[in-house]
Amino acid sequence: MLVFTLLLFLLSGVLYAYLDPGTGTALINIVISGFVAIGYGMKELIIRLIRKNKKELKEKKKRKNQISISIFSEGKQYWNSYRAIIDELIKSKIVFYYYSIDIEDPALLIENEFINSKFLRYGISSRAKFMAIKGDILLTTTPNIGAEGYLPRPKNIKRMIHFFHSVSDISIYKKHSLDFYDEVYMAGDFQKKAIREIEEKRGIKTKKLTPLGLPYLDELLKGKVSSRNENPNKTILIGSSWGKKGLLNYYGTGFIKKLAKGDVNIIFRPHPQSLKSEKSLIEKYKRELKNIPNICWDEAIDPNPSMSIADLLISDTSSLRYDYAFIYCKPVITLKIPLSAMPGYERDDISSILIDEAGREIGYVLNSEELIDIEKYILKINNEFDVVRMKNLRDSIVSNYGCSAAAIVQQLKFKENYE
Amino acid sequence: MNKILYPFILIIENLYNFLYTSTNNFGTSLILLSIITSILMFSLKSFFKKFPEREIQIQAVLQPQIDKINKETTGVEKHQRISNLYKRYSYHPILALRAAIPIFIQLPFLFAAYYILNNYEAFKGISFLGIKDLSRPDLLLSHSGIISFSISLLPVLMTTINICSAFLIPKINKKSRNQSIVIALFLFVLLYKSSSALLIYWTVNNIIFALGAIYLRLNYNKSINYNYQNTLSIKYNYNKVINFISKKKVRGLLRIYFALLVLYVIFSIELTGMSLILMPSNLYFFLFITISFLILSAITVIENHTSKQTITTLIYLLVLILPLIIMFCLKNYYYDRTIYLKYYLYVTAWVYFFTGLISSKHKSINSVKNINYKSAISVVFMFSLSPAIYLARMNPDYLSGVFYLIFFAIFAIFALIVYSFVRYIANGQFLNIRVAMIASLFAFLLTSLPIIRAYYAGNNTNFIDFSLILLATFFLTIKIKTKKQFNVVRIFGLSLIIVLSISLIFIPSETLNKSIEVSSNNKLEISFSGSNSIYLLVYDGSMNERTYDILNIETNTIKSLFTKFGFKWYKDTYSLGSTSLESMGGVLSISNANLFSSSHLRDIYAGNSKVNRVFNSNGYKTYKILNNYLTGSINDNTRKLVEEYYPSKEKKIISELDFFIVLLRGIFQGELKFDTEGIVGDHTIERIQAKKRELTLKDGEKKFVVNHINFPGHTGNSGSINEREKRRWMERLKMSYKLMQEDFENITKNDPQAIIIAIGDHGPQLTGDGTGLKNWNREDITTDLIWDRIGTMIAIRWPDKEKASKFDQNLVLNQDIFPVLFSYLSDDDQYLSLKPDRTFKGFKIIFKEGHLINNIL
Repeated sequence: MLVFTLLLFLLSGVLYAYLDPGTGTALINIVISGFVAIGYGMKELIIRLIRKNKKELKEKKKRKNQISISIFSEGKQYWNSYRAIIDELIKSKIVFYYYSIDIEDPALLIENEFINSKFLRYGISSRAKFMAIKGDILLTTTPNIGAEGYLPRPKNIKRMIHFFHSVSDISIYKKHSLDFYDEVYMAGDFQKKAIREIEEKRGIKTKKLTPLGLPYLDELLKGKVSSRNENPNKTILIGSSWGKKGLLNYYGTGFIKKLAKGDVNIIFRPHPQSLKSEKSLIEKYKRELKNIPNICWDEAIDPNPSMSIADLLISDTSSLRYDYAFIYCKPVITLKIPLSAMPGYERDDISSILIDEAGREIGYVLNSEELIDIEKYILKINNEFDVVRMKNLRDSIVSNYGCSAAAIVQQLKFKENYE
Repeated sequence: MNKILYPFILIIENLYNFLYTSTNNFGTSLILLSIITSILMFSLKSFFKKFPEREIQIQAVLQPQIDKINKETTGVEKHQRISNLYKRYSYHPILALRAAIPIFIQLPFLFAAYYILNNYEAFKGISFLGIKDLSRPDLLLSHSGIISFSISLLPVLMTTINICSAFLIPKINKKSRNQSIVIALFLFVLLYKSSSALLIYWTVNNIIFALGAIYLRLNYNKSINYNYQNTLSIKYNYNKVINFISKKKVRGLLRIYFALLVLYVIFSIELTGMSLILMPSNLYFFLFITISFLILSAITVIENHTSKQTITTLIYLLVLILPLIIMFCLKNYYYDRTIYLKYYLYVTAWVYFFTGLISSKHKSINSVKNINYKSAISVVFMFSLSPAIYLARMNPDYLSGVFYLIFFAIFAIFALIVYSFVRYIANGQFLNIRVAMIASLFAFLLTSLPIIRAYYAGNNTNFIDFSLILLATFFLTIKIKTKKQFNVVRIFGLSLIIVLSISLIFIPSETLNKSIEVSSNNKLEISFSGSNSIYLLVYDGSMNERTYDILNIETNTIKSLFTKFGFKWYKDTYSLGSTSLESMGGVLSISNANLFSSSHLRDIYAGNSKVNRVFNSNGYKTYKILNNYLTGSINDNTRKLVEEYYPSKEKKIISELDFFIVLLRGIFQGELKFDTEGIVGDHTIERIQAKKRELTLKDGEKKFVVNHINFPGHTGNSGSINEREKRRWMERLKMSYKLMQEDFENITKNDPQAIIIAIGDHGPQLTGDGTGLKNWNREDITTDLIWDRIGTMIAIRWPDKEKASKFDQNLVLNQDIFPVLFSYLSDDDQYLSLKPDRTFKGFKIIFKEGHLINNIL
């Protein structure tokens, strides 16, 4: 290292001559960081030599007898789904592992003896690290693990469990979404039919299905904001899915411009995933809608503030509809995305999609022809909407509303539940 | 440093040459070169941009947490918490270095450009755009008068541009900007006196960088990613490719493919020499293999995710790439080493090939439950044949026609015997695959182990280590039962190859057989004014007068011969070596060469010797009339020291049973490559004599002619002397007289001022067992037996006998000849001190000046 550093300095003349001034100085910083790294390594070594924590070793041995639970998250956008489960696990003093491929995952900030969290690095090596995950259980809300073109299933995981992160069934997942999972914690019994139908169709083994609720919805409920629309004009929230099933992709911005001409305020909320993976599209829409004063954009992760002030939601297949309808008990207009526009999704293999029919329960489902008269439907829906009926609907669809995380941890805790 | 940079220098040099031939203008091509390289650097840099970006991103997350910890705790606990934090984020402070990756990627090119442009001879005197000489500072602003000054403009221009671009970079903080300005000024001082070619190159580079900075600045707020859809599909396709390659079968086929590529490289080097691989197109091929392997291993790492398997993959990679790289760096410097490296590489390539073959047939080499006995036998065959093929390839002179088949058959039959033996011992308890594995290992080791061990142990005839390794291997293979153990052995084996190939660089060259004499330490600084040509005629097995008496052979003929031509025949002379090579190696290196390895001795005899260097430095031209047994394969450095070899050292294929047997014997004595073609070659004694005549007729140059004549020779190593053998030897002695007469006549007639040295290299070995007295007791070895072995003839024809008598008083050893000769030529007795010690050690005794000093050795 010393030789290397000397060399660096000796040859710096040649070096700097070419290097742009910005990175020129970076070199010096890097030499410093090299020394820091060496210092850190030495310290680590000395401390390891001096200190042998026998207690810790004993505890670790004890923990070995427990079921080892691993949780995998794709990142902070799913934090709402995991947060309650993590809190519950820590509360129950269960040691578990948490893996994330997002450096900004809030779970990584937690310093606690029960959570062993780890960031799985960047790029290709994250894939390798993911595959090296060991344990009895891998709990994740990410679908498609093991399917072609996605993350492969870790070889040393005995049981892979999926739980849902939205009020929807598997029709909105891409094909082979749950083919390689052993168990599914369903949001409610309504999801069962579609899963079984696909299992039968593909001839794959039957998964264990347990209705345990939706931690994501509970988390939203916790963050429910009681503010109201003080504006005399109606506020309409437009929420879009991402990818081909998104309403913007299918219907464009025409109807929004038309709506904006009336006495309404519009909040447009793209799917958080769109902000990540469809930057160019979002930029395009922003440019199109830039000059309309009564349209504003909501790019926050937490949808609660927008949802609380909106009087009505217009959305597509997005599960935001149910979040809105179930938590705030307000009406929703669904814009239908025809099946032909959604190739590659599980929907292709399912005969009847329950959650589509539920769309009619929480408001209207409009196709492209009906969309022309959308103002008419907005007026109509406000008159016909019934809050009590909505609450009943919610309880029939979602299990353990408000306490799903506790139910999930109860299920995870006992070995008998896996046989 | 230049060695490491060589490929980059090559790339830039070739590029520059190409540009020059296209534009035919030094300056324009220089600017074009600068533009091309800076674009290349720019793209390289942006390609590796993600590494510093990641570092920035992770620092943004970690720093607040570290600050928090620093505030809350101190000491060991603090360290513990920070350590945990790093673990959580899979981070280590050393990773901060990755921020420098884009810079380090560029470094070799920068250094290479600097190296070329600062030393480029062709720039001398070339003017361009008002600059008078590209190889010197431009000095564009010159004034001479009362006040004289000259200022170079290019450094000023460069510095101005550098300072400007420091202000142009978007998002740069004040501190970095100031640092950049300081660096720019520092550079101004440092490069002020550099060649203007270099400055043009860098100024253009800096202009391009400044333009880039302007572009970035203009587009800084518009950076929108429009390519998302594409990257999506790339990612998708990438996964598809990975899934395809992850299939064991595909990986097996890939291994075979790479093994074949490597074999191709080895053989193309073998056929055409190392220089070919340095040609740009082949260099790219070499790079292609390396990069392909890197990619393959990366994929294997991804697929086999555990750290242990990652290590295995890395080792596999190293095993294949390392010898190639070492070979590449060593080039022609150490001929011996590259041969062995090639052997390692070859071995590895075969291992790859076979494992590839197995895994392409089965799901995985590790999961092979069993194979049928046919496959088992074919595996054993292939493993035993692989070294055989290599050896056959290395020694084509020894094999031809049916002997190829016999040669391979011997190995195959041996492999079969080993297989049956192991099978018999295993008694049905082992799976076929294990039997095959053990048998292959044995068959393989038996042929390649002698070669490897001979390389490290020199010409040690003790074979205990060899047997021990075989035994250890046997027990090891018997013990392998689980997959895990198999992996351990595999990793161990592969690591061994790595260590062996690296060791080839670091072993001191004394044990490495060759090239000791090449180093300048061994140079003798001797100069003399004499202009006599020197003829060193070695009559193999010629003896001194005392030995004639011991053997009861009349001396009149030889005495009259010497008197006739004015030779002085020295008495009781002997050599410190008992074989031709040891003796002559000692003569030409003026030392006791008994401990030198045979290939080192051959190198000396071929011309890489002290004596040769002395003659060369005094304007002599060396001619070596030596058969190939005495010279071995001549490396390029040695070749440069000699004017001409006869017979010329071009190979010829001769099919002879003798050669075949020599090859087999050589293999088991641990020699990898043999070059004894000249022994039997079609260079008849008449042709050799004619060659000598031709040389003596060459006028106007000082010659140092070395000729080793195969007459009379020594007896045939048969172990006992019979009458017939003696009779035949006597005939050969007469033949040697005839040749002597011819030689002396010819030289004295055509080159009367020449110094003729007629010597024997060892005795005729006509007593005792006729050879090395191997089974003789020490007490039974007499002085006479020793005279018969090392009592050599030394007879010299001095043009000035009086002058010679000043120096030749103590000429006793063959190895004394050149110290005496140098003294004679320079008329200065100081070189007599070069004479080596006269103690001969060998045949279990110590011998000095006719006495057995001590018969215990």
